Amino acid sequence: MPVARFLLRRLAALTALLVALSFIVFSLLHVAPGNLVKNLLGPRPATPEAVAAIRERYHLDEPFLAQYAHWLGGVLRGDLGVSARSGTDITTVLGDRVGLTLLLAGLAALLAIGVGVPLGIRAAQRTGSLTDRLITGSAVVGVSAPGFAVGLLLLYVFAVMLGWFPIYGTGEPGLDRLRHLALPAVALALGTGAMVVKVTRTAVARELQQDYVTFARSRGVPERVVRRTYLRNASVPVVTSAGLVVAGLVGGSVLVESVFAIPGLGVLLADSITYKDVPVVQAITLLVAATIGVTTALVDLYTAVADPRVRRATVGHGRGRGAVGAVADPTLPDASLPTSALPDGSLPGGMPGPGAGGAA
Amino acid sequence: MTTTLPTETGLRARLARATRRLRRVPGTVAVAALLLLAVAVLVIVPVAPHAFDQDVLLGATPAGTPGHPLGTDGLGRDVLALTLAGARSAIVGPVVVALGSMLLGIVLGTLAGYRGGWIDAVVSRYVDLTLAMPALLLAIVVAGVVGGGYWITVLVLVVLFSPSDIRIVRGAVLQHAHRPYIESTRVLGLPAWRVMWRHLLPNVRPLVLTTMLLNIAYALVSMSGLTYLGLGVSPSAADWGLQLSDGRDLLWTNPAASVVPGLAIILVATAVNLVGDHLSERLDRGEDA
Amino acid sequence: MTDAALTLTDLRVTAGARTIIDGLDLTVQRGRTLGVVGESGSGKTMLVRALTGLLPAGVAATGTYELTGARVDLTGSPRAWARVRGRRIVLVLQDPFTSLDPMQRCGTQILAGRSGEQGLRAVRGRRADRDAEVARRLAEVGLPAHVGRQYPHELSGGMRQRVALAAALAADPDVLLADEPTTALDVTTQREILDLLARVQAARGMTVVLITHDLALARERCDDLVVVRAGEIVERGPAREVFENPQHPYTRQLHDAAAGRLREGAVVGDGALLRVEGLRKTFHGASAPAVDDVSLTVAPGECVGVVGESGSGKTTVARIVVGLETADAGRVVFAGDGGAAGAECVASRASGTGASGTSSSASAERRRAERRRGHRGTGRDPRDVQIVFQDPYSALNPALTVGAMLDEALAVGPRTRTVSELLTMVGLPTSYARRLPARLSGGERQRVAIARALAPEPRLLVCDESVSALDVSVQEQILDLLAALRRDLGLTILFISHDLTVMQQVTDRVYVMRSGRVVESGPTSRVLAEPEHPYTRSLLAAVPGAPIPSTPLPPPSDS
Repeated sequence: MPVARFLLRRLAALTALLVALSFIVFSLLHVAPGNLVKNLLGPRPATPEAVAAIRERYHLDEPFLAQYAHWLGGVLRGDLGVSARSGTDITTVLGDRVGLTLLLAGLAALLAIGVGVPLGIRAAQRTGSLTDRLITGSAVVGVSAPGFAVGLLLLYVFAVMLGWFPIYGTGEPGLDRLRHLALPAVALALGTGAMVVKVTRTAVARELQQDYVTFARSRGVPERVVRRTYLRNASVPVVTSAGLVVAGLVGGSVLVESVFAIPGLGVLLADSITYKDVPVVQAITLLVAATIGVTTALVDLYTAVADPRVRRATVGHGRGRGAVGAVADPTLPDASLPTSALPDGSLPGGMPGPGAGGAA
Repeated sequence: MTTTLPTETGLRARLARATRRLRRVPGTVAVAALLLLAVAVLVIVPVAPHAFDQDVLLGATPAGTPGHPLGTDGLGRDVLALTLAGARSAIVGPVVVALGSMLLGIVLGTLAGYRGGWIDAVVSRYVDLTLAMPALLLAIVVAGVVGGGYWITVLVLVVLFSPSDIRIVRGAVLQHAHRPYIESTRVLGLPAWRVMWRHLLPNVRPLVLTTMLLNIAYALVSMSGLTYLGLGVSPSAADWGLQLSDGRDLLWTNPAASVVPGLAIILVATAVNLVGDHLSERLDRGEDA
Repeated sequence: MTDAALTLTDLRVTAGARTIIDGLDLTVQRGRTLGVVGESGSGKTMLVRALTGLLPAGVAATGTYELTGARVDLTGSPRAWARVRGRRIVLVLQDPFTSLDPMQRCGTQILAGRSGEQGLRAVRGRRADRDAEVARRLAEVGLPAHVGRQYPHELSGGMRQRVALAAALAADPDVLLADEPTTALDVTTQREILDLLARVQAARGMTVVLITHDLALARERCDDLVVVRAGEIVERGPAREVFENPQHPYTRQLHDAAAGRLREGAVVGDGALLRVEGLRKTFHGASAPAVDDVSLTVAPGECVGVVGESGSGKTTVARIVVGLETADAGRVVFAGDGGAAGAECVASRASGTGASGTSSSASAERRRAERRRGHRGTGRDPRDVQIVFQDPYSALNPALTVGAMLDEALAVGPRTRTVSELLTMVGLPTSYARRLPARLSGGERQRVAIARALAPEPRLLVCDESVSALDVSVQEQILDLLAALRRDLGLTILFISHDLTVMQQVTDRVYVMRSGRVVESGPTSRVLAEPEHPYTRSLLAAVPGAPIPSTPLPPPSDS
């Protein structure tokens, strides 16, 4: 099964990435200044017994690699470890907060795609018009506005000045929670949505200039059929780039959560870094990286399935189509296609992280 | 296109071309460029010597307080002076980040793209790996854990920004390396360093400048994000991100304390992006930027 | 004679303040083929685009034309155009690789052109009906029914152009506009497509407007002709009259294609300046070798041609000779000045003549050669061989002035000339030294490229399709320049081209390549007059206006 093999390959790559990332984070936290034992002891007296007990429990006397191995072994058994700060199981610590962050990121993704894609298409269809300039102009501002700054402005205007939205907290589950998450979601979605607009506009505008659009129109193909044709062609780069951008939302929520005091993963991460809570920082980093990795794989899968040229080149790889296989197809998008579809090869959240999924 | 000029490289012709180009610059981009010029003055000339004067007894006051047109923050510092002084922290770091990462990008990207072989294999593998990492998250972790000051944060960002620069330069070099004009230099037997320095780099330069400009905007946004979390700056520094997080609790007493630096970040980043986008569009149209 | 199928009145095309076409009238007779001939930038493409209302953004047209029983306003609304396009008039584009949607099966694309009620019925009808309709349409253009289920990327260029034609014919148009429909194709495929077009036209009684830059093709394929230059028609009339009695200087150029210009006054020496033996090259990932056991010689002062279609390996041979590619096996030897042992510049010395070249010493040699290439150019002596490429627009470094470029090239050789002398030599004013390439025309750029190649005073000049990208009139000038240089400098030239007409004008001897092999060689006059190999014969027959009848061609030996 070619598709299975494709997925397997992606899974292997993702695993390798996660291991590398966890190692980097682990070493960073290891060499970082600060006294973990002191943090763990908190206000209790630092008796030699207590210190020894802590060093024993967290394997602090063992060599660095052995400590890493302990941790990795635990992860493989499904045990993320225990928070060094609160002593609670990390799965429990995360469980309380994952839902909130995912809800926030999901809302933002819905907004960013739901608004960004139609605006991008419209701008491309009217290239050079006033509509186009308004849309692209707003997109430049959107890309330039960091979520936390927008969040504060929104907070001031809609919560403090107008009083339409609550200022803090997450409210009760249901409609109340949506009301609480509305401003944070908008703040988070703005940068991503602007990027989606740019990506969509670039991709659609490029398809509109293709010969096949001119040829289809010249032979009287109805415009709605033509539209469907070029939108489907544009969908490949749009999904590729937008998917990556949207995957970055989970990581990007760190700052926005802090603005709106939402007890999600972001706030937890910020606190855990302050307290050198290694296991928690590790777990969150890996969780975010895994989200991005899975999204990237899904996006690649879409490209592979949607585009018959890529379908043959990637998924159908090795099936062998005889001698023609080696003939270069001038219409086949080059390897850099997903990346080049991003107007400037960059993702929001302040990081230039093209193609391969570097946003968080 | 236009009529042929008698001389092509003379000063006069250059000036004429520059003027013609300037006339095609849209108004918004011109305004953005002027704003950036003003910010550059703020960075070079210390215009706000009173930024750090505290008047703890005064505390936070609203905008319009006598002597403090934008009020004061929680420590009694003048918001206007503090914001003007914060321009330096907001600009210098991102510019260094963009320069540093592009320096890495040019060196490694050109080597990998033109020389190929094992250099390319190693560099490309490194780029693929680092690009797949959640960059902002990693920056937060590194800056938070390593602690360190402003320049450590800048260094971290240089490392995190460089992979995309390497990839961009490498791609451009690869694209040029197989054009006939580069192949001609090989047939002429010119040494590799000369081909890279004299033939490849000048043609990659417009792309490099544009990318750097856009990188400055992204570095500004990400650095202010880090400082918003209190990473990379001392708590008393004049910095827009820090002002935002301090001012968050003053939304009722003096909203200007957070709104003004917030707008400053957005405005400056937008201005840089506008100019960068404009240059990149001209690049796409084939004009030398 | 016949009545008018299309009468165009007062066409004006403008791009902003610039006028591309200023008041043009045109009549196309029913059932006949009108050729619109012009060089690049003459406005001929804008003309046909305007007729379908499909001008690029920023370009606008005014004017009207009459079809049988319909009047079309070029400024019409999309709704008005929807009634015209497809059923009345259709436009086939140049590049078969980009004119089909890569993500849709060919059958669907053919049916999509059947607009209106009839088309909707066809699209929505039963699957079997649709398949039958697709099969019928494909059969008309000589393709089997299963092509309908294939994607464009699975087809060759010629097949794609056939599918495009089937799609264009799907709505049964009265007038078919074809914009350089065969320019992107090989000469033999070109002939097939043009034959097909003529057959379909006769069967349907359709009117065809054929846009082309190729005068010979227009003469062979068109009933009537208009010659366009700078947006104006400079000559019009029945094709035969236009060619027998050309009024405009541009039209006369076809008759100026005098044979044998390079041979005038050139002295061919004895022995071989360049000896290529048993050259073999397979590109990474390719199933068949690009170059397979190619040997050739070039005598001092001689001009030797290598001719073949795209994919024949001729360019790879040129690139190996100048050292831009490394051969898997075989050698490239430049004779020493005394003609004795010879200064060997070897691709892979140890592999020997025709040997397989897999021995470890051979690969070590190749590794060394590649390392050398990385550090300094190609491993060839720049004073042995230089090259002039095809595309004048990417041949010059856009960031350097002409003078700087030439000075750099002079530094490689003995520097017996100055930049000014070089420029004069290629017929450019010395003031061009200060120019950047962006301010030069295509022909001027190619002159600079020739000057740069001649600066180190190489013994051999390789011209890789060096005039193919130029307009006919410019092509003539560059060929004249090469002839003059050959006469004055005693230049030795290896001339690579797909164009037999150019070969005939330029070369003393010619090698014909197909699928990486040399199938025939000999004096140009003999090979072109009495071709021995069937492939050479089919190549000759495919040249527009060629007198030699076509013979069935066996498939390449290695496929």
